[in-house]
Amino acid sequence: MSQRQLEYDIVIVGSGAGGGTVAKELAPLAARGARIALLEWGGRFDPTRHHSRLELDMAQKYYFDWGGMQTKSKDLTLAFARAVGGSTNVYTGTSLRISQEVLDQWQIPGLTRQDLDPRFQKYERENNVHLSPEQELNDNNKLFRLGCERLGWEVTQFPVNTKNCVGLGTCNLGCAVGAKQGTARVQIPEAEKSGVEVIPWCRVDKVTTHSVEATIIPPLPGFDKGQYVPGPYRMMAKKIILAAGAIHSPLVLERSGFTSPALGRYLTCHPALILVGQHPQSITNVTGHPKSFYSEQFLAKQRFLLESCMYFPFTLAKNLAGYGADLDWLIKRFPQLQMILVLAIDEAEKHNRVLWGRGGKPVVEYRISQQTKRALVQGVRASAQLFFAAGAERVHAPGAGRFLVSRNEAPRLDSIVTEDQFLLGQISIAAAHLMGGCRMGTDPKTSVTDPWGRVHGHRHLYVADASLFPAAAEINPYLSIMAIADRVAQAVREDLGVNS
Amino acid sequence: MAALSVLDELSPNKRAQIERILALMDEYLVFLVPLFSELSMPQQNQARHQLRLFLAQQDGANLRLLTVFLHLMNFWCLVSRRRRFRSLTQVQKDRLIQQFFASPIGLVRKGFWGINTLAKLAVYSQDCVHPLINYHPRPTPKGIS
Repeated sequence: MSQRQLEYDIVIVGSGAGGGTVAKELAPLAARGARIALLEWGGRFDPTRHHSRLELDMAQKYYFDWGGMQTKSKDLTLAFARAVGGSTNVYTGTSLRISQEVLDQWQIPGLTRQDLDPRFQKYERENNVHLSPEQELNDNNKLFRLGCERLGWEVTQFPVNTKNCVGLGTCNLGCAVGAKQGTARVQIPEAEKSGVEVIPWCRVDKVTTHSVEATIIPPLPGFDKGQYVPGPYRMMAKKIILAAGAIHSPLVLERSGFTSPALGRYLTCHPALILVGQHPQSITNVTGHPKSFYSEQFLAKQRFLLESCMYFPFTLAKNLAGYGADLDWLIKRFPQLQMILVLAIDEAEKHNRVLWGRGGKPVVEYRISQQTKRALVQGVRASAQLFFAAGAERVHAPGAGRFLVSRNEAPRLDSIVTEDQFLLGQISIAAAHLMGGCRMGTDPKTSVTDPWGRVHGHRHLYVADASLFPAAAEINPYLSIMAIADRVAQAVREDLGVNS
Repeated sequence: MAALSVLDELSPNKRAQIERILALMDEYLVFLVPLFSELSMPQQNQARHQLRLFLAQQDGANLRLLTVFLHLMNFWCLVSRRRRFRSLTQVQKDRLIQQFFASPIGLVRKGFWGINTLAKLAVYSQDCVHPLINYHPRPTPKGIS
């Protein structure tokens, strides 16, 4: 099939937290006549038409590889979405500002809270970031807070970006009432009003100097077709902004022949465990926002975070290290289950990387370090303490050598949950937040872009997503992605010689 | 319809490979997720079909790994217990599965994780199991978007 050509001034690749933000920030240029395209591999979701709220159905529609992609070593799974709005469709909307301490470690000139705070404020306002009122918090979340308070641990409520939330509790499967204010609900419609053209079902294969080679793919059944017929396209552009996420942004650059010692490397992902405590009584857990509290009690020294969470039957089952009657017994008590997510803060290491594999599929090489393993084991012990402090009778604690730990064993958790018994490959570990691969910096030997997202040596080409992060964000990252993408949009405007 | 077209597009070889995995999985499904036996026959068939759809998305290398590992499980059962898995007592089954689950060899643990996850996917991903596990999400209200 012959390649068709389309002419633009600016092409943005990917429409998640980064791409959606850049599209809105550059939209005033479109209003003045610039031709801007926002390309998205996935489709445009309509809350009323496309959300069955069934796990596998939504996983197939939203996620690459049904959300079950594994690293090469097969001890870590990665889930990342393709859809207009990207992963902002399937997060819980928790909206935190990256800390100055983390920015200090990143050592990116000019990237400070002073620079980012006005940008954070803008997106907190646009995306309706707020604290949910007490009456909207369910028992699962309140028990997390109660456990922390009883133990004397720090606990903080998550600001969230919902509007008219009805508490369906299935945020990670996409919001069936459109309550979550991700880029698909806020920034992209705003960009479209000004004339930015959104092109769904568009997979980008390569970028070259001033052009993007892409393929329009047929839509999934039940979705509307895009405006272009399927086939190969070349999109000409003066400026190209890659915002395809920590897996695909580096891969597009790699396939396009870009070479950099840092390209695809220094991947971090906040390796995570889902843990469960069983209470003697039923609690409200599957209705209401699933994620209201977090604790940074162990962030500085033990390098893990604890967050309240609630998942669905298969996701839960997959993440429990066990099988058979024990597993059934616990899952049948779903109304009694409290859940906690442990997020390890992983170091940015050069050997952790993404690359193309045979058959044109991404391969992620990621080694779970001894430090990460230790953080996860300590996170399991801390979570078990929290569950028991909140009143749980039994806890599923991977690394305990048995499926459940009882309340009367609580004083001996340190000797029960051990690193020796925490066996990789047995325990389900999931990548919570993918970051790095096109890290920003000043030295082309250790970074892919400059501090403003410009690819070193290529002034027409930018990156604007979590792949820019030089190391882990140490919090749920979407608001930080938006703020940093906002900086990239500023650089694009400045390079074009326009102010706003 | 979507599901049908995915399966229709498979090569005869891949289809045969998937059916082989499903047949091998049947040996272990009820033990790994006993809830499977509480499903009606059409629900059990639906569970197998769900697996079929998932496997259809996997590449040949992954399917080969799954097939090899299931054969390895059968072989180890025959060598160590001199009987097929389905003929073992519950206690014998548990001991055997524990050898895979907690194996000192990482590759064996990862292989078993794959089989165990497939079994969980077949059963717990079905909405028909929701009443059996007392999972009652709030219904989606009409007319909100």
